[in-house]
Order: sequence, then structure tokens, then C-alpha cells
Amino acid sequence: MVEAKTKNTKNNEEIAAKVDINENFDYGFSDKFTPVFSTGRGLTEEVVRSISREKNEPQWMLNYRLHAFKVYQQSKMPDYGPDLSELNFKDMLYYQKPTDRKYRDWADVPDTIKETFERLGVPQAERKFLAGSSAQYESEVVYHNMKKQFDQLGIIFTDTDTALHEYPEIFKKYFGKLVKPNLNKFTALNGAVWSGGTFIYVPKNVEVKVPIQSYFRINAENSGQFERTLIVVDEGASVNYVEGCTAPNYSSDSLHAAVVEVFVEPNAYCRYTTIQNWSKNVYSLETKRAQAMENSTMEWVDGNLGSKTTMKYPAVYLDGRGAKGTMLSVAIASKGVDQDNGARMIHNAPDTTSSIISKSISKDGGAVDYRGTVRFGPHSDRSFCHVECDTIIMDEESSSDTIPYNEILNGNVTMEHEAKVSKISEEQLYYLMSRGISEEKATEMIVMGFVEPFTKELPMEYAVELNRLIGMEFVGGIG
Amino acid sequence: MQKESYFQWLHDFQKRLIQQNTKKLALPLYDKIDVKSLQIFREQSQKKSTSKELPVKTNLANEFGFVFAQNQLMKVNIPEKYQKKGLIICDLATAWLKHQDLFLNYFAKLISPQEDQLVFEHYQRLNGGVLIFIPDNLSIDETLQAYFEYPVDSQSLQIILIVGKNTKLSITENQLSAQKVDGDYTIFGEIYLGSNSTLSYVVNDQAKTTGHNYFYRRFLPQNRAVVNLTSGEFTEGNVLVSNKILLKGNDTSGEVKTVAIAQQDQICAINSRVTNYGLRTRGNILQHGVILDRSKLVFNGVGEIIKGSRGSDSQQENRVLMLSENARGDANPILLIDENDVTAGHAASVGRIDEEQLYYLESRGLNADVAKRLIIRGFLESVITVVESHKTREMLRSVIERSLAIDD
Repeated sequence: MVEAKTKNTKNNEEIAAKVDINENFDYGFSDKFTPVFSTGRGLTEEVVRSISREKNEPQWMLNYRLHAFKVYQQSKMPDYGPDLSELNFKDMLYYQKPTDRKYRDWADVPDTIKETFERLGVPQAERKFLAGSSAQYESEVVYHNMKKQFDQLGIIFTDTDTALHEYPEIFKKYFGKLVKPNLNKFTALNGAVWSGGTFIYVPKNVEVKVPIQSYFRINAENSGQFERTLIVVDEGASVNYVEGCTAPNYSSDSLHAAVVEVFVEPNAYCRYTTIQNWSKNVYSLETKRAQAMENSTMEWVDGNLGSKTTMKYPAVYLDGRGAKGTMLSVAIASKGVDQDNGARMIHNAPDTTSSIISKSISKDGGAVDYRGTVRFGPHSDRSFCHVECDTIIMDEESSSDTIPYNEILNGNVTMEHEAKVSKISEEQLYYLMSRGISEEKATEMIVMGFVEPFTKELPMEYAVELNRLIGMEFVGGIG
Repeated sequence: MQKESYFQWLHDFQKRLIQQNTKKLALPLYDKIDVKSLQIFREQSQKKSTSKELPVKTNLANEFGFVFAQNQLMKVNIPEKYQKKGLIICDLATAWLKHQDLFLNYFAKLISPQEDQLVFEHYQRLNGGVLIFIPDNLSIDETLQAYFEYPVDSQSLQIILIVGKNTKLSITENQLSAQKVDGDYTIFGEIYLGSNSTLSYVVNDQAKTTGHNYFYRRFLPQNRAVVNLTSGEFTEGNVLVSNKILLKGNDTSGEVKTVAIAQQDQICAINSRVTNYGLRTRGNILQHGVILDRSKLVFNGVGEIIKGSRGSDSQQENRVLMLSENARGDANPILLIDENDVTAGHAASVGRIDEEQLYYLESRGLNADVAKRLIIRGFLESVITVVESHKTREMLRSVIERSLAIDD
């Protein structure tokens, strides 16, 4: 069934031939297991303290958490975007830890957890493509594998908790410098109860040639995931980090409030690729910020397919002369889904350039919005920004808003913005159908073509997975 | 003397509003416009009588139109052929006395006093206005010239324009002042358009005010009616403009064209919104602005398509040219789409003067100032060329020329 749906465009056929897709791709499963440590439901100062105690953290981190908790208690829900009134903070699990120790070797990973990844196709994918894999299961990184050459090159790729203990200097220098707790309610919450996430440090002039990948999952009903990801790409270095998410289907709501901070030092390069396919009860409220220094490049590649509600506006602070920032995103909102995505490009230095390309599709009553900000600060002379937002509204029930803010405080800059919203092109549909292709398949082909600028930037197995997911979305295979 | 009964009625109307307004109304929400910082109503109350009356500048001669100055309708000139057909131009007091049904049917109906705090405040301060009634099946070739001369003190005016079915009207709203004035000025327009009618509404704002201005115009066209709004915002004071076209009728079309120049320390906020409700409606927003000195210009374009407005189209283009390092500009093109059988698009850009163009012009012997002015003219010209009326085009060009000359 799945096989038939992926062999649509020529491009996909080639990829599909290489990957075994006959297995049942069921994203709605959930493994049974008992967490070793859990703080129980609800959040109090004591919970924050016990998380820190459990993790044996230094005093400054406890202070940071307590400060963030205070900010959290005082902050209000966002006054824009989707409805978050059904979020139940009281019944949420704020911390749990599935196993006592971390496994370096795949053979040592507990079977239940392994099974989950196997069904997701992680091991095969890893054998074939991965450079290293840090798998987030529940609120802690349980499996962590890194190629030997990484160690030799001095690349640090670990979970954020370990990094706090083992690399305190780098950690303290960068942690929380871009995303402060007082930014919004969810950064405050993350600051208070963060757990897990990925830490990457690439030393000066080191190029990581293969993408570094990490899989995330939410499991256990009502579990909150508050990862904290910190990536530092030192001068002249380069890295491509890829993260993907799938989540089991549960009836009550889960919250995913991650914070990602990326520091791209002068002449460095970083690409951060995310594919998210949360199950349709997850609130994904993430804050992603990157800082790009002199002549460096920061690229966000962001695909959002599932979730109940997503609010995510990855930012690049172009703080060094000649810095470059790009955002390439795809969002698909189907029934019951509210995708509120966008990007923020903040030009704070001269000769900086940025580009935003956003592709959105809403169907079956879904809502997909682009909400973005381009800001040219007073010192952004000769800077340039290009924004393109394209949307397809598939049917009568669906909707889409495009809300771009362009703030210009410098007379010596150039900005271009374009957006288009329409239904699926009848002409294209007509043409394909006249060639004997069914309407369903023709629609899928048009959609695949529409998102192609995005898919072609993905690592191959992600492209395959994304095409497969789009195929499923357009025949109601999931959700 | 009879007019006192109108003032009594107005007083009661305002009192009723206060009574109804139990919970404090919010300020209007416009994206990225800090309404508070515009300080639209600075004075607590402005009902004091005018201490000094400015001389009336406008000479209407034989033009079709009227002059509203010194807080009253000074001159009205309606050709007899239109008078016979029942065309009305009168002040609000007269409208209340002589055409009460008409007045009560249309006054404060399109812009509800309970909408927000500024609207409420406007109605509280309302101290003048004009009612214009164009009967059905009347096609008017001359442009109706409406002159509003600013008094020294603050002023809140209401324009009620009712255009009947199968009619055609061009109107120019001229705002001017005999000298520099510094009050709080609001002009609200409630504009109704009957089916199959065409309205060309031109705003020529060149009052020399260092005060604060709030212009709120709302258009309601019926089936197959066409609204073309062209506004030139060249005032020197802080200004908030809100243009809204509600395309409720089927097959209606609404277009907003704006050219604006912001200069000195001025804050100029322009919010244009076209909402498609009816079937096969067409909305279009085209805004070009130039920012000079230390001024700030915010262009919001909102294209909204309500569910059920099938076969509709919403397009917009917002462009800003920055001419100064210290200027600040925002161009926010917003699309809100709840229907899929539509086409919608927007484009926005912010840019500086093209060095190549400048270089080319200078190489032809033009000095930098003249060259700059030519480039600005060219930039605004792309809006002006699509304005239908030749007269309006010329008018806009001459105002731009004057506005830029002051800058030298």
C-alpha cells in the first residue's frame, strides 16, 4: 500500500528502489516500559530542585533553573497565534528517566526501546548513512553512538546533560546566551525543567563531512519533553545536524517545548535540519535561535507535518559582517492541525544577507500560517533579504494566513517579499489527468513537486521518509 | 435656531454612548503600529470655541463641490441638473433636520462607536461633518471637489457618502490649511455604494499640520459595485490612516492605491484592509512610500478572504523607498485566507536609492538632488500611472513635487 504511493515522481522512484518500504509504517505505536525515575505530575519548585538533584548538577545550573521557574510563574501565554487553552500544565509529567546508564553500544540498548527504533527504521538508516546517532527516548538520551573519528577530530557530540558535566567551560560560555528564560513562557518552562537534547561542539577549522543525526520521540502519556540543544561551530568549522521526530498516538495532549541555541563563529557553517511528525495531540512550541558571526552561514531546514499545534519561528541573528542566514521550510496541516510557523531574520551587522523560503499546505480543515519577522537594525548597511511564501489550500475547510513583518531601521538595505496563496492548480491537475493519471495521484504529484525545493535539500533517507509521509497524508494514511 | 435641536440630539447620542460604554474600550489593533505612541487625542477636551478663525483659502468658483471651513459648510456648489435629480450636500445638522431618515439610517452605522476607544473618542468629539447623497441612476462626469480646511483647534468630522444604484461618481477629498496648525484632527468616512455603481475616491492630504491626524474610511459596496480609493498622504504631522473596503456584495471590486511621503520627525502609519466576503470579489492594494529624514512609515496591507467568498482574488504590493539613514520603515503585507477557491498574493519590498540609477543621472549632468528627486518621482509614479483620472495623476504629481521641494 505504501509502496504504491511513493512511486510517483521520477525522483522518488529512484530513491524508493533503494529503500525497503514494504514493512508496515505505523507511527501510532507505543512501547510499554517503566521509567526509572519520574517526578510525577505537575510542577513545583521542589520538582525543579529534584530534577537538578537527580542530575547531580552544579549550583549555577540549579540557580538558573530556579530563576527560570520564577519567570515561568510570572509569564503569560502568547497573545498571538493558535489557541493553547487546552494545554494542561497541571497533569503533565515534567521529568522522567528511562534507564540508569547510557549505552554507547547498540547491543546494550534495552529491547523495548530498540524495538521502537527498529520500527522507525533507525538502525538500518544508521548502518547506511549515519555518522553518529544520539537517540532521545523519553527525557533522557539513552543511546549514544559516535564515530571514532569524531573523537580524534575533537568533535564533541553528546547529550546536553553529559556536556554540562564533562565540558563545563564551553557549556557555561554558551548556554542560555541566545535564548533567555524571559523570552516567553515556554523558554522559561524549558529553562526550569530542561532535560536531554543534543550538544555539539565542532572545533576550529574542522569540517564534519557527513550529517550528524538524532532521533527524538515522545513516549508515555502526557510526558513533556523539554530538550535543550546547544551547538557551537567554532571558527572556520562546518557541520550539518539532522534531527527527526515521530511520536506515538495518544489521546490526551502532550507538550514539546524545546529550546535550540546555535552559535556559528566567524567563517563557520552550520545547517540544522529538522523533520517533525508529531502525533496529532502534541503541542510543539519551540524556540530556535542561531547567532551568525562574521562571514559565517547558518541554515535552517525545517519540515513540519504533524502535531496538534506547532508554533515555531527559527531565528538567525546576523551579528557579524557578511553573515548569511537561510530558512527553508515546509509545513503541512491536515485535520485538526494548526501549524503556525515562520522565521525571523535579524540583521544587526553590515553586508548580511538572508533568505526565507516557506512552502505551506493546508487540507481537511487544517490551518497553516506563516508568521515571520525580518528586521534590519541601524547597523545593517548594504544588507539584503529575500522572502518567498507559497501556500496551497487543498479544500474548502482549510485556511492559511501569511503574516510577515518587515521592520527597517536602516536606509541602506534591500528587502523583497513575495507570497502566493491558491488552491491546487486546476490546469496542472487537468493535464496530468488527461494523461491517464488518477486525480488522487495527480494531486500527490503536484504536492510533491511543490515541496521539492525542500525535499532535495534533505539527506536521502529523510527525503524518502518525507515523500512517504506526504503520500500517507494525502490519502489519510496517518492521523 | 432649529439647529439646536440637532445639537441636543447629538449631545444625547454622545451621552448614551458614555452610558453604554461601561467597560473601557480597547485601542484599535493595527499590526506593528503603536497606536498609543501616535497620541491621536492629546487634549482632554476640545469643545472650546475657536479663538481665532483662519481665512477661508479655497475659492470654489464654478467647481462642483463644497468647502468645509471654520467648522461649518461655507460654500456649496451643485449644478442645477443634479440638484433637480435630488443630489444633496449638506452639513450634519441640516441632514438631521431635513433628511432625518437618511441621516439616522447611515450615521454611525458603518463605523460603530463601540468599535474601539479611538472611534468612541471621535464620536465624543464630533463637531462637524457633511452628508452627501447621490441618487440612483445618476452619472456624474465632473469631479466633486470636497475641501476641508483645518481650523487652529482640534476637529472631528464625519463624512457620510451615500451613492445610489447605477451611478458613477468621482470625488476628491482635499485637506488643507491656510497656515500651520497644531490640533488633533479626525476625519471619518462612512461610504455606501449601491449596486452597479462606480466610485472613484481620491484623498489629497496636504494640510500643514504639526498636529495629530486620524483618518478612518470605510467602504461598503453592493453587488457589482466598484470602489477605487487613491490616497496621497503628504501631511507633516503624525498620521494614522485606516482604509477598509468591505466587499460584501457579489462581484464587487475594491482597490486601494496609496502614495505617501514621510518626512522630518513624522510618524506615518497606514493600514489598508480589503476584505472579500462576496462571491467573485476582487481586492487589490498598491502602496508606495518614500521615507525621509528621521521619519517613520508603517505600511500595513491586509488582504482577507472570508470563508464562502469563492472565486475571489486578493492581491497587494507594498513598497518603501528609504532615503535616509535615520529613517525607519515597515512594510507588512498580510494575507488572511479562509477559502480555497481563491487566488491571493502579495509582494513587498524595501530599498534604498539605486546607486546605478543615481550614477547614470549624475553622469548626464544632473546634480545629486535633482537626480534623487527624479528617482523618487519614478518610484511613486508606478502607482500614479495606474490611477485612472488624468486630473488626479496631475494633482498627485504636483503635490509630490511640492513636498520634495520643501525638503531641500
